[in-house]
Amino acid sequence: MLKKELRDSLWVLLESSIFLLSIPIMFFTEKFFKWGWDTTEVFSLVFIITMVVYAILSGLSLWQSEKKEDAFEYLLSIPLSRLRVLAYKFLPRFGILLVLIILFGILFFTPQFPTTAFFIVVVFLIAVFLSITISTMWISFIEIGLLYFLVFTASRKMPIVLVKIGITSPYWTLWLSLFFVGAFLLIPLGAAFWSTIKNMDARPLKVQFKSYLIFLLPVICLLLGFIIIV
Amino acid sequence: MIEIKNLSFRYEKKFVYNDFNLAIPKNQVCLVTGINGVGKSTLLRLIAGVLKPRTGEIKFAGDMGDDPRKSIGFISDKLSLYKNLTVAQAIDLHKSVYQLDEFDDSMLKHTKIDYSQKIKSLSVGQQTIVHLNLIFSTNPKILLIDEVIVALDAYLKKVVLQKLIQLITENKLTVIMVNLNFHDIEHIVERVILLKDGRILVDEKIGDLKQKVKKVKSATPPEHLPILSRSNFNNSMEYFIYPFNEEYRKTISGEIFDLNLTDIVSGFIGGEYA
Repeated sequence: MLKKELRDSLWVLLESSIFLLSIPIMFFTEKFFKWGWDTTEVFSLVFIITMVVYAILSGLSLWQSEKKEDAFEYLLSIPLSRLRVLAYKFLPRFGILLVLIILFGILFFTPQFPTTAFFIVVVFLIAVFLSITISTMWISFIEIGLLYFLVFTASRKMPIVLVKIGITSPYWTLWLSLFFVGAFLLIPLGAAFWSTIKNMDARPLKVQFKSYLIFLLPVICLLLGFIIIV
Repeated sequence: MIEIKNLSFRYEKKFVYNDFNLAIPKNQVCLVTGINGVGKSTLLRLIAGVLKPRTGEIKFAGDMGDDPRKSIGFISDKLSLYKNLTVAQAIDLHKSVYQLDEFDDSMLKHTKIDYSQKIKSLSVGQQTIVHLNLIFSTNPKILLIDEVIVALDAYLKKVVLQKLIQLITENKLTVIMVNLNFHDIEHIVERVILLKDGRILVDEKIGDLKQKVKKVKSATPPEHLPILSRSNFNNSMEYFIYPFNEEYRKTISGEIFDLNLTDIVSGFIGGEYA
């Protein structure tokens, strides 16, 4: 099972790597418009795009083979616990993402690297937690974009609250903001995902998403309220 | 032994089963039948653990280990497999999940399937034989087969049924089959369960059923008998009688016929549609 999932993850990486083709395009664009980018900036930007695309695609494709190949019944009938199935699916995908992030850190380290890495992991986790609900890839891209926008905007507003309660260090306000907002979205989203997986059976998937409504709707409303008020 | 107690299940609003009970002893071969949409495949899926009952329970007596799915072989009408895998990869995956050291591919050897072919490129019959071989390789104690043997050609059907008989005899296998080609399996089925509206309408040993269901060809309807269903065949009326009593022979003017399993089931199902 792990071998199959690793193969699937590498295939997604290969699909995402198509963005590497944009390197020569960016070189030519740079030569034409003369934006002043150097080679490192071009590589670093393309690398980030590839990582983000991989993070979204690999997360969303967690159950793609079961959905596309009608293999849910097979998966549910074999003696593997839901936790083990999830681990087999999650670990290769997350492992490859970590390798990409570490490689990026080694090649293009900047002071923004930790926050970039944090947001890529958040995007990956959002995609994983939404993976069971996806009907079409494009709609899911939009959903992830909206949730990411909520996290990003709320994490920008959070320092205002933190300063008010006496946390003034820029380092701590940045990381506490990211941590609180990320956790505020990801914990309920993860709970909805796990609850769905734990109780999942061979009924049509669309009738099994009640947990998402219960867990996610209040969080989105609270985040939106927080952004509007603060 | 499989014991289903007070089981309720529904896909959406309408219950497929409500307070359903059934017990199937070890080493019995059962045929579950009924009209389309009655819940035959759902019953197999519930036993296989791929559907979860809303209430009630399904118990497995005997040495089934920590996870009953280890001892259950289930092949659904959807032929659910990872179809993007090659046959060799599917075998590899199955071996690793069931922790098999060896894989008995004796059934696959009867076919001309190339193990490097992707499952999706195989015909339905070939996919069926791959799936059946995967299931048989794990030496299940309970086998749940849903309407798939019909897809096999005559030779492969024979191979599968021979293997099935071998497993039933050697491994004391319990088998539950759904609406297969009755003619093929008539000699191995011991019990017939006919479902209607989420409950059991008929539950009989096949020998008893053959005694109790007869067909009468008669110009005048034998209205004094319990007519299960009637059909017009070549301008002559046929009446399925259930339960038949030997005493009836004295009162019937037409011909009385013994029936095979196919006729019996079609008699019952005809009654459902009437």
